[in-house]
Amino acid sequence: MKRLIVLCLVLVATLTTSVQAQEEASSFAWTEETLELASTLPVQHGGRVKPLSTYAGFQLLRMNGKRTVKTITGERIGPTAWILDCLFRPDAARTYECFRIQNDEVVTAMGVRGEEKRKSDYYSYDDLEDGLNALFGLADAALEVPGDQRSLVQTQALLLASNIRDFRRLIGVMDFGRESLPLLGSPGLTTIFAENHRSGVLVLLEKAPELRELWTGLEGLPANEQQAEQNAATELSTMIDAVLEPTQYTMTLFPPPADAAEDSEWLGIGDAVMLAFADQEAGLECIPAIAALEDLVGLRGNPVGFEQRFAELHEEIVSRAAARGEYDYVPLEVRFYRGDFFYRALLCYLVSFLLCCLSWMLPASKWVTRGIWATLLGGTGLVILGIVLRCIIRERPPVSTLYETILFITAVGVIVAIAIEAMNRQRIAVVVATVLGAGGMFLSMKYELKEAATAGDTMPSLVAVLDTNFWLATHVTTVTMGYAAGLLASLLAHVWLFGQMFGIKLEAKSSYKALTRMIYGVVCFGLLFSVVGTILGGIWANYSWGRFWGWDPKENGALLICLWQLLILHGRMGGYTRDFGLCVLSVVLGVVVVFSWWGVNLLGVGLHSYGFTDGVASILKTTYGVEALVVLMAGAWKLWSPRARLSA
Amino acid sequence: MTQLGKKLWELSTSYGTACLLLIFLFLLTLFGTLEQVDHGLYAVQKKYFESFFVVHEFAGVPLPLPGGVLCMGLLSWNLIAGGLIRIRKSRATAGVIVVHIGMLVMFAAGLVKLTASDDGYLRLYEDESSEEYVSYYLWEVAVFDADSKGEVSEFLISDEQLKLAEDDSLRLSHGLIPFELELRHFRENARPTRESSPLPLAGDWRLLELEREQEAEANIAGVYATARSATGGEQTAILWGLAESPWVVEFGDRRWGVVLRHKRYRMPFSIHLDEFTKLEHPGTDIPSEFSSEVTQRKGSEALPLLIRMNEPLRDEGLVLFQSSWGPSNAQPGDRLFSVFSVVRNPSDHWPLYSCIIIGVGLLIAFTEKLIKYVKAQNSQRAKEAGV
Repeated sequence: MKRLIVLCLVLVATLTTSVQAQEEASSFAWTEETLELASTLPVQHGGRVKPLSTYAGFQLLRMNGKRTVKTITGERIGPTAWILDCLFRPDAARTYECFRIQNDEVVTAMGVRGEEKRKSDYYSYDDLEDGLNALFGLADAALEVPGDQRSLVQTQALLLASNIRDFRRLIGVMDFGRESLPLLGSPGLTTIFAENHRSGVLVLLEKAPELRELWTGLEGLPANEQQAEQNAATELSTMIDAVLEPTQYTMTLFPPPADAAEDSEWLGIGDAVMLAFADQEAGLECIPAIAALEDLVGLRGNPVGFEQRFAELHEEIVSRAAARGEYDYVPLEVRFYRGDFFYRALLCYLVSFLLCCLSWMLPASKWVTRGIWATLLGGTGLVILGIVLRCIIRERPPVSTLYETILFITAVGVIVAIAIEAMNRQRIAVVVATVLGAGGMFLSMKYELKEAATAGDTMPSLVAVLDTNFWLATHVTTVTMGYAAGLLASLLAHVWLFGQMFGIKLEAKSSYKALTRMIYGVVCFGLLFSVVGTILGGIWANYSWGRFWGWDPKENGALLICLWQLLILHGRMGGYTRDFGLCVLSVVLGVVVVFSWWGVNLLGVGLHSYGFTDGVASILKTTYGVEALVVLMAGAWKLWSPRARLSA
Repeated sequence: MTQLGKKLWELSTSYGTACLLLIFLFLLTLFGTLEQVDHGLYAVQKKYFESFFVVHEFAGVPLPLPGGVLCMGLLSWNLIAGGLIRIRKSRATAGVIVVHIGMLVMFAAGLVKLTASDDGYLRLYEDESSEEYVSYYLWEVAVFDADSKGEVSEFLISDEQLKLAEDDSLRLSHGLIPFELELRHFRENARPTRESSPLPLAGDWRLLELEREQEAEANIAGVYATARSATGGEQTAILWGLAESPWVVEFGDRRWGVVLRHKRYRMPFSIHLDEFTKLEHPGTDIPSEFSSEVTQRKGSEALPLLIRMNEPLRDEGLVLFQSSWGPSNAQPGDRLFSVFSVVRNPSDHWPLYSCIIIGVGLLIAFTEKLIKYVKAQNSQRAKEAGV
């Protein structure tokens, strides 16, 4: 046992030693310290305070499907280095291949398809720039088409256009510190700014009192001078709007004062500049940070100087966020994403599965067995650790979004399978655990991409009605445990059916019998949680909206699971179904769970229409079709195979 | 018990019947879920879940099924007779029996809710008060003395009575009014029109019956009304749910107002909305909180309270939930209104009790099975090791 634990720990340690490997394989411009500071810089986006690295990671994930990007030199950099480049070295960022084009028809239509590029490939902003007008035209035309009738090219054009716009804003955020403002366009402005040799808006803020005085005293001037001053003011104002415009649509950087209301909005650079110019306290407080940002623009060619100034900016923003209690979990979130627990868990499960395959050839090998357990427990430990960290960061129970159901269901399913294996040691549940674990982690990674494209985060702010940790912890947790059990029972039933249909001999003579006992037990376990979870959902609805049951699709989905599980148990108790029937019904139970978990979300009706499931329809239809085929095959086998009569 | 009675008893209490009913209920739930996409919740609820029989079109083929009421009624019987009376009483079945008791409590809660509860909404602008809430979809006709001062007495014609006036005419008299009121051609969703329609003219107008809306509360009812005085006078009009003002009937020098409106319920207290608050997560349009500061008045007692999402007001058998707000296009500084769902349900907490009973029952039943399973596994392993 000790050896097993040591093996587990070594495995997990090996997988996590490269914690910063990908993220901080830095671009040449940034020191390690700068990257570390930048990754933990708190920003507000999507209703919550998060690390800059999280924001950057999801931006990158949305644009190119990964959290890394290739520079022009072929080096791979992480999200923090990428966003620093976007902000402070936009000319370099434009050359990075950060736009994933899944179908070259879009770039062909834009007239910018690179000859050396593959059908699905990565492009830089510079690669696409000449075709942007055509792209925006395509996107505008696609908007006229109803969502469900858009072609693949139209959908891709819309997505790419949105990504391009976001990228442009991102590389334009620091324009306010780069661009020279027309400060000498009138006699009044010349008098105020005669000595100025700097670009950026800070000089404007320094001279704000004089400017206010100038512009409020225009009435006393002769008409032609007044007109000249007004024209110069309009020109200046237009330019300021232009350089601040990109800051309106990205993350906000400046925390409000410590005594502001708990849910106060952070200030973006543009808002802060405007408030400071208007002599408002909230804006004036941000001037040191604005000055630091302007200085950083000038220091981009001096990594050491940049690091020092960035440290001051970091200190300023972190201290203000910490004073409001909004920095507590930022470093933890950085560690969470660096840990990449779910990807590493996927690797563990895959290795575990391969070892299971090896164990069929080497059934007596203790090392293979230990390897299976080490990787399986290691992977499960990583999933649990990831879920726990998410709970701490969000201050929520484990499940409050569709994405989190995937993680939780996988964890519960695998744990139950491990418990079964521990009880009967048939080496069946352990294989199922690896398949379920790997499948769940793969699905979570795929769904994370969808969340990046829609919510821009997998830890989104919850709508008011979901803001109740009690019901999230009780109803949602129990009902998803029911889902997990349903899926596990279905997987075990597949093993029984395929094993019997293809005449696979299991290790022990009694294995098939043991397998049906497992399935029955898991269905019982599932029924407990499905029924209690479903009723708790009704009680939540009753206590929150005054109705216990509303025949809403999501409620009905949960009821369908309960009814099917009851049917399985009553059929078994009444003697109507034996082993074969139990397995076929359990396969169908898996379909019912999938319908309830994902299918009802596609109906687009009801109160529970949550989670972005566009694009899932084809996968669901394929699942239903495959399972229907499994049931038909099993039926045919039962009817016509002599072995079926013997084994049943 | 006769032979037939015995057979019926055995059949109706068998596992086979339970399985069959579970399959029917499963199909009803599945079809009723899928059909909501095209027909909306209300129509589907009526068709599948509040019916005795239903014909579902499956791939163009009509598939007759027992309706939700019949299925659940038979399942309740199967549960009581099979799962409580006929079931073998032993330690092994103790958990199952407890579960069945819990299920019965839940069914009872549903029955009480269906038959003895009512619900509606209360919409208040800031600084407004009310002691009435309004049904979402039930209608009533109110007749009142249009010239009376102070508290107005009303002669009410209920939704059930109005439904009788769909095909037949309904003639009503009441001590409050010196005329007979005849109602006919009640339509749950209709609008007055000057264009052609199968319904008769009333003056220059007639009712045009419309398709029922997917959401029941979106239907606007209409009905033809004729007031006949004993002295021979007769006046006819169309009453419509969205009419701006009541129909005024004049006989001699007296006037009566007649209005078709959503059914109103009186509360044993009044609610005054002091302030409504709507918060969003910073930098987004995702609502983070809706709450209403209200004053509840009972006689001379005034109690300041906060009603918010997941924290309703419960008093005197009524529950007031924060439901929604408006106007949806309100600008900052505009006066907002808050909408409360109001429910009167005597079985309010019964689902919780049933959940606890079922949970305990399932735990007992499955723990029993788990212990047996583990024991069987151990003896199996010992046997195989011995071999």
